[in-house]
This record gives sequence, structure tokens and C-alpha cells, in this order.
Amino acid sequence: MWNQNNYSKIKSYLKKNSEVDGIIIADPAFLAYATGLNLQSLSSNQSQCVLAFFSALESCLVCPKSLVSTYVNAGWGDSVLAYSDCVAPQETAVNYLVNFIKNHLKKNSAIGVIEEALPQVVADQLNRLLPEYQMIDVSEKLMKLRQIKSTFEKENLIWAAMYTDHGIAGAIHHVARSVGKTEKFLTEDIRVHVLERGAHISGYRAVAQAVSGDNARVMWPNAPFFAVGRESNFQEGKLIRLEMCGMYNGYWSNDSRMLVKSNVISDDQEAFASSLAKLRTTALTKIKPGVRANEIFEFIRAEGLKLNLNLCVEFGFGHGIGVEPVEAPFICASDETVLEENMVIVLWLSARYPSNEEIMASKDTLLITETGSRVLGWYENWDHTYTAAFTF
Amino acid sequence: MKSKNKIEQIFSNGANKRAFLIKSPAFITYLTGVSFPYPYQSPFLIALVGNGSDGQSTLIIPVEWDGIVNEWNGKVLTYSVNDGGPGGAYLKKVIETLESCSDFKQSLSLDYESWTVREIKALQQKYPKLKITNCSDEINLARMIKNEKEIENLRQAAIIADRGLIGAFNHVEGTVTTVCYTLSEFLERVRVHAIEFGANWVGDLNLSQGKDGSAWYTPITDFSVVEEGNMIRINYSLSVNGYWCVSNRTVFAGNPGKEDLAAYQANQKLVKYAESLLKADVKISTFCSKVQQQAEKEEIQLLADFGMGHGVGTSEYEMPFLTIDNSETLKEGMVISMGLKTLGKMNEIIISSDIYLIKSDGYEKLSDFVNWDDIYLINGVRFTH
Repeated sequence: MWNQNNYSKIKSYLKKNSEVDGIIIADPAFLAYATGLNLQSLSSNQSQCVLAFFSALESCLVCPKSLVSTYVNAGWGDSVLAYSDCVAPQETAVNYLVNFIKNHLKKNSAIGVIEEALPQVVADQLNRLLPEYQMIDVSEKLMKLRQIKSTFEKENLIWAAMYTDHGIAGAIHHVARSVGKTEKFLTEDIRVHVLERGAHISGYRAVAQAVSGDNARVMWPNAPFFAVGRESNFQEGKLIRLEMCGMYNGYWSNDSRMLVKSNVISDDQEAFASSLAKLRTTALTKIKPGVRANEIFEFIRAEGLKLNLNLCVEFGFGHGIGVEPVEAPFICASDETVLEENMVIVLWLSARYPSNEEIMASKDTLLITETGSRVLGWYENWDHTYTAAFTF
Repeated sequence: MKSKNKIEQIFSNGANKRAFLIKSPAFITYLTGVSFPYPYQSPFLIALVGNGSDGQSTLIIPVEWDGIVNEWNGKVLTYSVNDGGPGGAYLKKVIETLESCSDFKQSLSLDYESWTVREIKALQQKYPKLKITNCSDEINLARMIKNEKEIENLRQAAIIADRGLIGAFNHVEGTVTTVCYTLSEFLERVRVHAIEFGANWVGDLNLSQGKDGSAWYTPITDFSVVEEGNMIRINYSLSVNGYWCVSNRTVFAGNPGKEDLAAYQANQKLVKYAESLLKADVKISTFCSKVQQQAEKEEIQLLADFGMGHGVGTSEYEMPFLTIDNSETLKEGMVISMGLKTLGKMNEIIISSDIYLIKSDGYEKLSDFVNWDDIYLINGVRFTH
């Protein structure tokens, strides 16, 4: 069971910051962060509303009765206020929370809310029922808190990255030039191998992709089949894009590699792959504390041009990772976040292979260190493009 | 064309033609027929912006999703993270699209529950005189009654859900007395088989074994294996053409004892009673309270506070919710997932939920691939499997 939680980090933030006396958390990602339990279904389950409240001294979690044991098992030691399944769960949950706040926080106190994620309808109800309290937006501050990872978080992210990279390597070990393999089969192989290594099983986005040819020209081919693979066989000699988002203790990995379905790599493929590898090496020299995310973006863009790579600039070149597989900061043109030690980011370099504009990618998880960055979870040296065995 | 009709039915109705802005992925899938890759679990947002007067509408999606919209007649615009991060770029594109929307003056119909404080503030800052009307109830009411195509998608999803489970069970059968299947791999087998039988994507995945099953969600964080002599509960969801099935089944590894059999039989006895009440025009609160009373009468430990079911459609959990405080009535054409949570001998939660199409004289069970009246046994021994 997941016994960790980050609420000591939130409580210490509250002690250090006098602007708010308590914080309300209402969105699934921040709830995962605060409770240690990453319930992805909360995002899409209208019948369940979970809310949390923290002050320096008190905490409470409001959840449906059906989730009480789950939160208790996950190590939630503070008050749990449970409501019966009902026709208006959100309204009910807010009512429970309001009663707790009225009993535990003196009037005229300031309450922090994450406006970026707080549903307006919840805010309306809070404002109506708590007129004596002041609501203050703490979105940026809490997002910043999430961006700087604790030792525990880093450990989880390292394991997640390691198992995923190892799992991809394990799956492609089963690809051979002379043996047929479908997208669906390789997709499954990646998921299974990542789980075999020790990643924790999860639904929704904890999935893999393995695509080549026309299917590799977009990020989500085969709609409405998403990341489940289809029956098409990989052609011999083709580049294959491999992806996997995995989870470990509620923390994500987000990995991408490529391979050639042949034991021989063509000159064009070699030139393309080595340019992408060179770009990764160059980009790593720029990624360090004190540098703005958009500076890194511009640097990579310029270096990519020098290497004649047709980069997928529109996706940006990476993002943070934590309780979500994609989170702030974003290595893109518009993000001015300055990188700091203990951030964990994914460097995402994707480019179109010249002959058919197939999108190939490299995703590496990086821990920002005091002086630079450290690549997490590399199972093997991906600077050399992976070629399949001749047979097995 | 059909999906466009849904837009017209709601937003082009008589004198009430209006500009609309929809954010909920479930609503957008319902209105357009387009499904999206794990939209609720994605950092990226989507929107549907349109005119009621001519039914013309525009889908806004992240550039990473380019190419997913194949069978829809409207316009598709993309946004890039470079234009202000996922949230900022999204809002910019929404406002830009609203500007080109001829019906949009100062009033806008939107699904209010889906929007955050920051997004509403941005809209109000741009349009200080903006008058917002909430269209969520209208869409939810329309969504509750399924048409034939929707019912077929839901039927297919329900059948695949059971086939996915049976496929996985077939792999575990023969291995229960040897340490062969980790719970994690067992659950992965469920996903694999659902995909093999045609699921477009799989959502929730949860498995609990034995006494751990007293909690509803039981994350697997080790290499625990299937152990003989335990109830195993699997909860998972999957989607077919944007339509969902939520599947909850309880099975037994090995040979059950009398108490285990009795606990499962009690659950199914109550389910049969609940089924006898299912039909159009029944008040949901009455249905729930009668089931509760029957459980008391039969001395069955029903977890009535955990709800008895919900609608399924373009989202996993949608109206109507089968809760005791719901004053609505069941209507013909609704499709619901109904399952009763009772307790086993180790206080593990037992449930076997089915998907029902409500009819005037009763119901049709859409999840009819296997009969779950008797507990399914994962059993058998073989040296290799």
C-alpha cells in the first residue's frame, strides 16, 4: 500500500507563508500529490467528489464512504469525513468541507485555493457558504511546490523511469528482422515488460505505443483506438517509435525510444538517429539550474536547425513529470520558469524522419542537479540506435 | 450528420438559438461522435465552439492530437503549448474562435461545471458584459436517453468487458495452485483481452484479493500472486466508439467454502430482486429503498451507502445515479450499470454489476455474454500453462 504523503510539505508551506491560513484542494492531481493516492478515475467519475483541506494544525479529507478504506490504507491518518453516495456529490462534499472549516478555522481567515484547477461551481458554493473567509489564489505557489521534488518523490520517479526504460528494452529484445510482429503485440509486450520489472499497474494513460510508417506520422494513430495497437505488421527495415507512460507509487514515467526493424541500419536512418542523439547531448549541456525553460527551447530549436533536423517544434521539447505524466514546467516558447535543483523534467526531442515524415522521438527523464542535470533510468546507451536481432 | 443533429437539437431549438462553448470531453463526444485519447487524464483541454443558428461548430484540440478527428464534418483547430502553456494556449484559441462565431455577442451557453475559476475569469476579463447560461442540464437530460446506435455501442462495450475478463481467467485457470500469475499480470491480462476483443481503450483497472477487498480501490504495489481460497474482485472500464462499460465482477480462486458460496448467492438473490423492480417510470429513490428493505429482511449485509449504480454512455459514470436521494424516475432508453455491494466472510466487497437497457415493461440486459448468477471459479491444475 502507498503509505507516503506529501502533506508535511504542504503544512510546512503553510507555516512559512502567512498569507493563507489553510488550503483547499479539489483537483485529482493535487489530491494525488497531497494524499499519496493517485486515483486517476476521480477525473472522470462524476459520482465521486474528493476534497481536502489543510491548515498548519488540522487536515481533513472529504470523500464518499466507498473510498474511506482506500484512503486509510494509503496512510491518510487525519480526519476523514465520509458521505453516502448521492445525487449531488460535489455539492454534498463542499457542504461537509465548509462545516469542517467553520469549526476549525476562525472567521476572517484567508484560505488558499488553486484557481487554475478549482471548478467555478465549487468556488461559487464556497463563496456563498463562507462569506466571512477570504479566498486567495495560490495556484502558482502550489505548482512551484510540486515542481521541486522531495527525496521520496525523486526515488519514485527514478524507479518509474528505470523500470520503463528497462521494460522497453526488454520488449524490443523480442523483435527480430525475420519474425513478424504486430503493433498490438509489441504494445502489449512493452506494457508487460515494464510491469515485470516492477512498475505498478494502472489504467487509463499508463499505456504504450509502438508505431511505424504512416501510423508514425501522428502522435495518436488509429483513432478511436488509442494506444492499444492494431493488427498491422511492422515492415522490415522501418523505424519504429516506442512509447510508454508507466507508474510507480503514484509517480509517472514518460519514455520514448526508437528502433530499426532490421539488423542493419540504413545510412539515412543512421544520419537521422545520430543527429537526434547529438541534439540530446547538446541539449543536456544547457539544462541546469538558473536557465529559463523558454531559453532551453530556443537553444534546442537553433541546434536542431544546425543538425538539419525537422523538429516537431509545436510539441515543445519537454515538460515536468510527477503525479502527472505531463506537468509544468514546459520546455516551450512561452514558459519563463527558471529551472531549479530537484526539478524532474522529461526532455522530449521529436523530429520527422525525412522520407515519410514519421515522427520519431527520444524522451529522457532528467533530474536537475546543483550544477546541471542527471539522466534517470537509461537502461542502455540509446545514443546507438537499437537494431533488431536477425532472428531468434 | 447524426452527431450534428444532436448539436442542432440542443442549440438550434426554435427561438433559443445561441452560441455555445463546451469543454466536457463526455459532452463533446456525445455531440460530435469524436472520441479523444484519455481526455480526462490529459493535461490538454478540448472545446467545442459553435453557432446555434446554423449548427456550425469548431473543435479545438491540442496539436499533439492532430489526426484523431476523422468522421466529423465540423472545423478542427489546434493549439500549441508554445502559445502560453497548455492552459493559456487553449484559452487563447477558445477566445479567437469565439470572435469568429457569428451568434456570439455577449451571451454564451456553456457547461458551467466543467470550467475552472481561472478560465471563467479569463472569459469575463475579455468580455466584461458576458452573460453565461449553463447548458449542462440540457445536455445531461438528452444524454440519458440513448438512441439505437448508442445502445449498440454500449452493448458491444458490455460484451467485450466480460470477454476481456473471461479471456484473462482462462490464462489463470490451471495455475492457481502454483505461483504463476502475479495480480499485476492478471490485471494486465484483463486489459490485453479487452483490447483483443475490440476495446478502443481501457480506463480504470483494479483488482482486490481476499480480505484486501474490504477496500474498494486496492492499488497493487508488489508481486503478490493469485492465491487459492480467495474471492477476487476486478473493477475496470473500457470504451468502444466513445461509449463506456464499467465492469465489476467477483470470482473465486480455487474451491469456495460454504460461507463464500452463501455470500455470493445472497448477493445474487438481492440482485434478482433489484432486477424485478427495474423498469421505466419507477422512481429511483423508491427502487433504492425497496432494495435496502429487502436486504434488511433477508439479513444481507448491503453497502447501501455505496450506491447501487449509475448511467453509462460517453462517460463511465453519468446520470442517472441510483442513489436513495434521487427523486428522478427511470425512463425508457436509459442505459445503466447496476450492481449491489454486499460483504463476504472476510468483509470483502462482493459485486457483479450488469448493464441494463431500461424498457417500458422491464429491462434488457446488454451484458449477456456470460451468466454470473453462480460464482465463477478460477480453478484447475496443470504442470505447465
